[in-house]
Amino acid sequence: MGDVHIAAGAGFSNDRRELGEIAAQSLTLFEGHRYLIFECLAERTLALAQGEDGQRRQVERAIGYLEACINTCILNNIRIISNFGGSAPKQVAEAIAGFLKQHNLRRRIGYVLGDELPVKDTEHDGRAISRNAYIGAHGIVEALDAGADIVVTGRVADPSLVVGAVAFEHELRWIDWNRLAQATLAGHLIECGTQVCGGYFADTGAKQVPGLTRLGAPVASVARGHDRLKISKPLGGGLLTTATVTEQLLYEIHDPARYLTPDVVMDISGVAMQQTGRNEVTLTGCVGHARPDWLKTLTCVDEGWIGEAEISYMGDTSLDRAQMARTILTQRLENIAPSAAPHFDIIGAMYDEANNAGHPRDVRLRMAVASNDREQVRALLDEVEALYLNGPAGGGGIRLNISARTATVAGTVRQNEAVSRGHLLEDTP
Amino acid sequence: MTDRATAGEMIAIRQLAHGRAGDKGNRLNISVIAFDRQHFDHLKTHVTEELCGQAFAFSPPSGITRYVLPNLAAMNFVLEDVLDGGVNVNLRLDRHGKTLSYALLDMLIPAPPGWGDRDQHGR
Repeated sequence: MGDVHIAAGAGFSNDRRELGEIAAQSLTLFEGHRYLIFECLAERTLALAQGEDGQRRQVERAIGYLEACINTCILNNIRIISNFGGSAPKQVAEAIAGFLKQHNLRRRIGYVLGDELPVKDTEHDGRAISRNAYIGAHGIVEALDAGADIVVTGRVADPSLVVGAVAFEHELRWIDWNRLAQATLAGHLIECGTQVCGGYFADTGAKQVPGLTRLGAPVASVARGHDRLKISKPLGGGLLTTATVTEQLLYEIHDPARYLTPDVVMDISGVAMQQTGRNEVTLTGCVGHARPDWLKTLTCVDEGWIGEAEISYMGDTSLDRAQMARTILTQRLENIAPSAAPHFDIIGAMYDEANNAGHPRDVRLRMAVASNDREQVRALLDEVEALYLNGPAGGGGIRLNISARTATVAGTVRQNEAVSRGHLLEDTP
Repeated sequence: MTDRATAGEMIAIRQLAHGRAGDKGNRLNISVIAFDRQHFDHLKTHVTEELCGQAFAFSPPSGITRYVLPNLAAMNFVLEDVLDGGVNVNLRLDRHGKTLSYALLDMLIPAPPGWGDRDQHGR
């Protein structure tokens, strides 16, 4: 025994809230150590989490996830690990403590710090918003070791959420490269939630997926002491087959022999898998190599604004009229703002137009522009709105949207410059 | 087994394989996974870096690397500089490039021997 079972209750910041409860219910079917993870951070989530509004949203999200599943977790002794701490793990941990207290629930709450790096005023002309290192599982193990039932992290590498649980329960040393790689593989496969068990997979023909309206959650079962890893989907819709697992195995992978994480370099080039049950796949052959002595960093940089505007055309000549409208906009923007470099798509004919094929009867012209000057963006979008009266015949359904543009710039720091450390909240029960 | 496939018949890659696109920064990866292991060698022969380049003629990558994973009957294509600077800055409709797996999967390759005996899903 001694298997560690980890289920995923979210694969991105705004995933279905019910998935956490399905994941927790799934875990009750397993004997051993049980963990629930929520993976909530993408490349720019941390930039969006800055400021008061961003902070409030990330607290609301964390509590939203917990509300849906906390009772099942407490009743069944399921620990929770999540990076929903975002840009402020300690503050989110405190908010969770408040929420639990309000409901007379007792859980010990830990948090992990160390990913946040100082931003220099001189960086990126003073436009840098945040800088974080992708830290490893070390702080999660420290928090669990201190007795935490819920561990709140910021920017730990996605698979490290699972590595933390496995390293703690199996008492891994930080040089057990093959074991760390196996745990990383488990994390990699379930960190996108349903993407491994029928989500993001359905198509016609051989790719039909049952139960798409209520997909189940994946569970990774990590055996102690050898390289067997089981992935299963016990409850809910969807399916888990060697095909769904292979798609997720290669998702966001570059060189399969060198997947770099802060904990280990994972090598999946020799992985083999077998369907070992209905909705159950067993993987073997994952190996690990010494972790890099540096960590990846991501700096979020304010890049002004993106404006998008769209207008629809219908009928046999819809493509011709969308092209006319595009010509009008191109010429007008050349006069008003020669450096604007607008981007155009004709939705409904994007590839047909390039290949001179097809005959769409319903298209939508989209223009996108970017600038540091919000007023300038607004003025350029107004040009699309003016097509109502001044453009080709039969244009309608105009929508305008302006959103902040945040670039992410990758860099590196040495491992000792951003150390993953776990803490226990002070007034925790 | 009689081969009823017309000589020179072309089929879409997606009739033999499935895949998924993933982005990191300005780099995209697309997996191509055989539905049926016995088509893997055929896919390996025809789904090349060159064919992948043709699929992305509308936005040419600065480099394409193919990794072959025989255990999984799969290949992984890594395309460099194909997202106009990456998900957070480009002006595209699909800023992640998530839809682009089908740009490759729709490419035509010769039908494998015996294809005419199969139904439309290759089974």
